[in-house]
Amino acid sequence: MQAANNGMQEAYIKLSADNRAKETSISGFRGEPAPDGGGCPEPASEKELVEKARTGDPDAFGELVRRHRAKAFGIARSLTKDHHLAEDVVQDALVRAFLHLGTLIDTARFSPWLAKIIRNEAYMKIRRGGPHGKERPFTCLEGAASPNIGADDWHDIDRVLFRLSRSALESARQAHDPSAALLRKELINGIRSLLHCLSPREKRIFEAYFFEQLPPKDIAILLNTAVANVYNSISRARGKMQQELIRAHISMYVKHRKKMGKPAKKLLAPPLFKPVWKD
Amino acid sequence: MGKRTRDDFTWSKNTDTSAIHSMIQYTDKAGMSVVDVMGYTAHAFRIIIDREAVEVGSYSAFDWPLHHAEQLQNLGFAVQTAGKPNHIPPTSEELEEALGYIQTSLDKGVPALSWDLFIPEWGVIYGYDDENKVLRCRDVRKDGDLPYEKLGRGEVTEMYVLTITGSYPVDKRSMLKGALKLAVKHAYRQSFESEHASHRNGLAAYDAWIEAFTKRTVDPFGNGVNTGKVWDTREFAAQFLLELSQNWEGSSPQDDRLRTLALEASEQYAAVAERLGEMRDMFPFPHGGEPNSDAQAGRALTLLGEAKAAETSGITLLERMLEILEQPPASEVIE
Repeated sequence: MQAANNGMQEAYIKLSADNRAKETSISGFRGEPAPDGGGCPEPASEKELVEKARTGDPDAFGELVRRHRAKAFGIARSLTKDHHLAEDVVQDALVRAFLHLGTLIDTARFSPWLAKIIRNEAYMKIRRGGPHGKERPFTCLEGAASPNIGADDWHDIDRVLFRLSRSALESARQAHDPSAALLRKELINGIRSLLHCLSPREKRIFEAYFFEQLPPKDIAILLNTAVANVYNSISRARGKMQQELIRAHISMYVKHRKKMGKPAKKLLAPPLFKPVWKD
Repeated sequence: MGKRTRDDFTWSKNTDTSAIHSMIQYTDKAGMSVVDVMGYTAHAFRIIIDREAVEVGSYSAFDWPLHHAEQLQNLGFAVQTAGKPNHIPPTSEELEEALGYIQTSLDKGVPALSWDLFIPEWGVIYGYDDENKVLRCRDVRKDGDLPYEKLGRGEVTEMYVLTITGSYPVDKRSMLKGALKLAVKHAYRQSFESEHASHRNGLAAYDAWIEAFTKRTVDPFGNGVNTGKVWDTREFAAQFLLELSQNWEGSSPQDDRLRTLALEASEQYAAVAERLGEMRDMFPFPHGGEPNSDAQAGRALTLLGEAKAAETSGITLLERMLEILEQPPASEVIE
């Protein structure tokens, strides 16, 4: 366990100093030993690591990161042609990978799956205008038509939450920048409007993690629960909020169609294509 | 030696082409057979294999928007797509765009192609209901309603939608020429980016398959699935070329030559289908048999070697057909 943990730290420490804010921002995913005391046999197979990481084990994920970071950075670097942007890409992609690990069907295929995420993240960043491109969408929150849900541009809840979960250092920097502080406040207000979909306990953990920026270990102590439960709650809450955001958008979309006088339903004759699956 | 067991060409295991065939029936090109859709989209000539383990997703390891658009354009359709294979669920914005495409198409009376509706395969969306916020969908697993919010959030959480936005007339000669170009390109040119380094297409896919069997690293399930799908395409290739040799119109010497070459090519693809048919029986879906046992792997290697040889001859014949089609058409050609 200790070895895996060190490996992970080493993986993150490779980041350049000017990226330290982001480096610590995903510190929530590392550092705390598993509540059961660990006992990770080493060297663990990749499949085992993925399976562990899927249960929210940050050490297993850290070990995966250690094994794949160089390759991931290579892909990002070749796509962005920019060292710093590539580091951003890898960081964001790793957060995304951690959050979506549950969607990986074949646990033996972690590497190509991660590569896909890296590539997608890189394209997204390049499309959005490089390192500062991603700043833009949040200004769209201002003057949004709906008081509940912001404009279309902050559709990506992972990105929003990632920003929220930035380190204390970043928060301090924002505190000296009024416009950044305002942006952050708007973000939090937007997010709060979605929290009603969570159970009271999930809501508490969510707020502690994203708004108060408490590390999962502290939240666990505060709520007298295991760290793994905190991770699970954060992950579940995130999923619920994503769904809530999607539902809200769909409701607006359907209302808009109605207002435009579009048809409410349509059903064509069934296609020739036959369901033949036998479970 | 195996024998051809296929006599029903009204369905295909290749669900994107099945779905596309279904969609065409709602357009001015209704009546087109599955055989013709398989042939004129060149899907009948496709093969993609992962050289590490013949992994289950091999058949879907390609750029869907690009290839499906190419295929449908060759049949005379304009299309529009939303989403792509990337294992990332759609944002609300992307979802909204896709719903817009689907509803616009359904309002015009044509269903949409989509992915992972009830199972990670291609399927058809043929209805919507804004009140209940559901899409009426059908894929090989199920026919039923899918909530709007679940589009792109199925088993593999990625969204893909293709709709037909226009149809224009195309003559058979152009369709055949286009299809042969696609088939030849697929046979020789790798279309994957570096991250898909383990997948090979066209003739190189046979080498990839042979490599996995030689290393005894074949995934039984993945191999079972892909054997069934590739066998299916080659049965259609043989049938398409056979029908072409019988039905191709025109009385010029070029047309005669085309019919002869089509018949010869049909025999080569029938030989490929025979070998793959035997493999399909050895490695049945879903458990896939024992592809890494020495006896089974040995037999599979022989069959794949023979299949590759026949496919190589087949592609050479397709290239000769293409050469003829690229010559200016003779004046007496009617088509």
